[in-house]
Amino acid sequence: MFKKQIVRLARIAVAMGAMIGGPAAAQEYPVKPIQMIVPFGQGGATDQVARLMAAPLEEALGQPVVIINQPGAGGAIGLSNLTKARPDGYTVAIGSDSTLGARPLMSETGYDADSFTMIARLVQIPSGVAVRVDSPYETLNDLVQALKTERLAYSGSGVASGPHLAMAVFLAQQGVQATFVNSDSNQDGLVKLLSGEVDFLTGGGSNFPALFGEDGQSDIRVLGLAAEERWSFMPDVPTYREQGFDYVNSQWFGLVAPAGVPQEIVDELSSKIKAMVETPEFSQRLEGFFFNAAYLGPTEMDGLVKEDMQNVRPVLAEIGLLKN
Amino acid sequence: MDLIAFSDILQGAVQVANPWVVFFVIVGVVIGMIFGAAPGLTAPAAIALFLPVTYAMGPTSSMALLLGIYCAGYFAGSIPAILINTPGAPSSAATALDGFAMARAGEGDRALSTAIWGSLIGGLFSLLLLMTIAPLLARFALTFTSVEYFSFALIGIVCVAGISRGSLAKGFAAALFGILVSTVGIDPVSGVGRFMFGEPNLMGGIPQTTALIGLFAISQMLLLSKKDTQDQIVLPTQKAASQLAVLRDLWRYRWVTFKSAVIGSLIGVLPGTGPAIASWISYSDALRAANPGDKFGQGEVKGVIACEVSNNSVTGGAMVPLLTLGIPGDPVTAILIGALMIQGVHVGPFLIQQNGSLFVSILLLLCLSNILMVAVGLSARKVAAKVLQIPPGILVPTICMMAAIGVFSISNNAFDVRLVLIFGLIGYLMVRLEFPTAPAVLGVVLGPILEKNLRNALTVSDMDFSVFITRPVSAAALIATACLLYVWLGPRKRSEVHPQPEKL
Amino acid sequence: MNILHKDTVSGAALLALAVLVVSMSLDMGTGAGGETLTPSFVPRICAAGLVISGAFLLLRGLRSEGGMPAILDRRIAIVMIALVFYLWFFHAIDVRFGVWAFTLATMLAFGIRAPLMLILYPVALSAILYLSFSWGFRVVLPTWI
Repeated sequence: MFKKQIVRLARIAVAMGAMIGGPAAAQEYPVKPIQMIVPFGQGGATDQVARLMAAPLEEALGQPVVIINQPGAGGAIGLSNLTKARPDGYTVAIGSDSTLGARPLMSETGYDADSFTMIARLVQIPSGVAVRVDSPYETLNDLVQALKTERLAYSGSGVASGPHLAMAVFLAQQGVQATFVNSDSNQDGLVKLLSGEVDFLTGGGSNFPALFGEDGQSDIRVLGLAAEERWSFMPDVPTYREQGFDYVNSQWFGLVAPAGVPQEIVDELSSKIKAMVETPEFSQRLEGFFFNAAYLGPTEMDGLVKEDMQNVRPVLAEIGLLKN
Repeated sequence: MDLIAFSDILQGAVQVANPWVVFFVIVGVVIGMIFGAAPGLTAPAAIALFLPVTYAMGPTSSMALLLGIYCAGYFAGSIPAILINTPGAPSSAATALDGFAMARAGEGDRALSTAIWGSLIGGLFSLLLLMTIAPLLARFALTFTSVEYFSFALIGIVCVAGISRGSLAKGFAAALFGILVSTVGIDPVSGVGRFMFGEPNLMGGIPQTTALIGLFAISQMLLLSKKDTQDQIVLPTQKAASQLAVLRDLWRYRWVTFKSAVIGSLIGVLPGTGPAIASWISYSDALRAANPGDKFGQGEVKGVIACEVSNNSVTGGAMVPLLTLGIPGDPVTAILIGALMIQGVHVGPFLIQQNGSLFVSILLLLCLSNILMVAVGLSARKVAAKVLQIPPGILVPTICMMAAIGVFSISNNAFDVRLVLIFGLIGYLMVRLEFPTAPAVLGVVLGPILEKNLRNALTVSDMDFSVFITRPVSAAALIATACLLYVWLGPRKRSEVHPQPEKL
Repeated sequence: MNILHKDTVSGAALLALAVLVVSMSLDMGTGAGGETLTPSFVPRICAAGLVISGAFLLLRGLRSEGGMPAILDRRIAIVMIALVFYLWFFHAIDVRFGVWAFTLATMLAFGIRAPLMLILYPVALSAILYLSFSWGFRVVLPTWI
C-alpha cells in the first residue's frame, strides 16, 4: 500500500522533472497523455480518422491519446486554439488543406500558416465534380464549354471550403465563371443539386461512391476527379487530365502542432505515424470512408501548404474573399 | 415496401429481439431522459458524447442506444420547460409558454403527461409515414429550394407577434436581438466575418444551445436567487393527473394533434431544419386556429399538444431522407450517419436495398424507443416533480454548474462557458425589464434559415424577388404568413391587447 | 419626463445597440458569392427594427409613471459575482475546486447553515460532475493536477 504510493510519487517526480528538464529530457517523449484536437464534431469523417489513429498511436507511443472535439468555422476554431497551446508536442490537432493555408488569408483567425509545426499528412481525397443524372453535360468539357456561354450555379460544402476553392481555382484556370451558392455541408449541397437549384456540385470524391448502386445506377453523374490517376473507389470516372484539363487537386488531412515544437519530437511523431499509415490495416479501415492513406513528411507537408496558398491567393482576391 | 424481402424483415426482427439490444434501447431512453431534462445538457450533446462508445458495438446495438437517446431526448426537454420554465432544448422553448403556465396553476402533472402521450403519438405517426411512403416523401422534399425554405421560416418567425402578448414592441425587439445574435461569425453566404470583435472563437458563430442555456437556465437561476420571495414564482401543490383524462384531451383536440404530427413529420423530412422549427410552426398554427375561449400563453393544453406532438414527429420524419437518400433531416441524424459509417454501413440511396434487415431493425427500434419513452417518462415525471421541492439554495448551484460543464463539454471550449455567462446576464436583464425571452430564441433558431435561404434564393434568381410568389408552395406559405399576421395584428384583436406583464 | 422608467432605459439600450450594429456593419464588405443581398443587409434591417421599437419604448417610458425595478439585491449580487468570476475564468480553475467553491458560496448566500449539508453537498456535486464527464465521456476538463 505505502510502497505503491511511493512508486506513484516517484513517477510524478520523474514526469515533472522531464517537463522542467526541457530538451535534455525530450528523448523520453512522451511522458504524459497527448491531446489531439479534432476541429470538427463527433461522427464526422475527420473525427473518425482521428479515432482510427488514436489506438495504434497509443500503442506506438506508450501514452494515451485523448481526442478533443472542438468544432466550429470549418475547423478554424480548433486550430486557432491549438496555436495557443504550449509547443511541447503534447497538444496536436488535425488540420486540413483549406483551414491551414487559405482560411488565415481570409479572416482574422488568430493564426497563419507559420503558426504551426507540420508533422505529417495522413489521408487525401481527390476533388471532384458531379451533375444530376438528367443533366445535358456528359463530360467535364461539356460543362466548361457551357460555362463560356451561360451562367451556371454550383454548390459545395461551405464558402471558402476545400471543395469550393478547388472548383474556384479550376474555373479561374479555364477562364470561366460560375455562381457559387453556399451549402452548410456536402449533403446540403446534394439537396441543392437534386432539387435543381444549382447545376453542378463540387465535393471530395469520398462523398460520391455511396450514392451509386451495385449496377452503377444513381441520381447523379460524376464528371471527373482531379486525381493523378483513376481513383480506386470509382475506376469508371475519368480524371481531369484524361479529359484534357491539367488540374490535380485533393482535399487532405494532416497532423499539426503549434509552432516551435522541438525537432526531435516532430521526427519521433512523424516516424511513428509513417509506420502506422503504411500498415495495411490502417488503409483497410480508411476504405470504409473512401479515403486514401497518403503520408507526407513535415517538410513536404509544409511545402504543400505554401503551394496551395500561392494557388489560392489570386482566386481569393478575384472572388473578393482576401482579407484586407 | 415491396423493396424488402420477407427474410430481411425476419432477420431485422431477430436482431432487435436480442436481449442486449433491448437493454441498450432502455439505457438509451434513460440517458436521453437525463440529458434532455437536465438544463445545460441536450440530446444532440448526449448523442455526440456517446457516439465514440458505440464504435465498439455492432450496428444494431449502436442504433439501439442512439435511437433511444434520440426519441427520449427530444421529449425530455419539455420536463424542465414545464416544471421550472427552463427548456432543456430549443425545441421545448414553445412548450414552456403554456406548460409552465399550467404548472403555475397546479396542473404541471397534466402538462407533463400530455407531453409524454403527445410525443408518443407524434413519434408513432412519423414512423408510420417512414414505413409507408418514405421514398415518395423524400422525393417531394427534394422539390423544395431555398425559396420555399425561406417562406416556411417566415411562417415561424411571425409567431413572435402571437407570443408577445405583454408588449409587442418588446417581443419584436427580442426577436430582432435573436436574429442579430445568429448573424455573429463568418457569414455562410459570403464568407465575411461579422460582429466578431477580433475574437477567433466567434468565427463559428454563437451556438444555439449556448444562447438558449444562457437565456433560460442561467437567467432563471439568477431570478431564483432573489431575496424577497414576494414576487418570486412559487408553484402551488401539483394535482396528480389521470392518464385517461389526458388521453381524452388528446382525442378531443385530435385535429390539433393530427395537424401538429403532419407539420412535425414534414419539417423533419426537410433537410437542414429541426425540431425547434417544427414546434414553433405547429404552435403558430394552433394559435391561428384558436377558439375565442382558448387561453394560449396562460396554460392552454393545446399549446403543449402542438409543440410536443410535432417535435417528436421530427424523429421519424428526419429518418426519411437519411434512409432513402443519405441526407440527414436534422442535426442528430447527421451524427447518426457517422455512427453507421463506422459500422461499415454506407448511408445513401441504396441503404434499404443493400441493408434491408438494418432498415427493418431501425424501424422496430424507433417504435420500441417511443414505447419505452412513455414507460420511463411516466415514472420519471414523479421523480422530476420532486425537483420543485428542492430548496433553491441547492437547485441554483447544481443547475449553474451542470450548465457550465455541459456547455464546455459540447466543444471543449472554455469560450462557450463565457458566452453562456453573457447570455445569462442578458437574459436576466431582459426578464427584469419585462422583455419576453422566447422570441429571442425564436430569432436565434430561425434567423440563419431566413437569412441564408433568402440570400441564396436571390443569388440563383439574379436578385429577382418575384421567385417568392411565382413558386406555388412558397406563395402558399406567404399567404399563410399574411393570414397569421392579420389574425394577430388585425383590428379584431386590438381590444384584447392590454399590457399584462408575462413572466417568461 | 421619466428617464428612469424601465421602458425608457430599455428603449435607450435598444437604440444604442442599433447604433453599434450599424457602425459595425459599415465596413463589412461583400465577400464571395454571386450577386445577392450584402452581408450587412439583415443586420441593418434588424437595426432599423430596433430603432423603431427602441424609440417607441423610449417615448412610452418617458410618459409613464414608476421607475426601474430593483435589478439586484444582496443575494443575487453574491450569486452573480461568484458566477461571473468562475465562468469567466473557467479554463484556469480546476473544475473540482471551482464547482465545490461555487456551490459552497451559493449555499451560504442562501442561508443554508446545516453543517452536514455544507460539508457533504458541494463535495458530492463536484465529484459526481467531475467523474461522470471526465471518466464517463472522456471530456478533458480544466484541472490543476
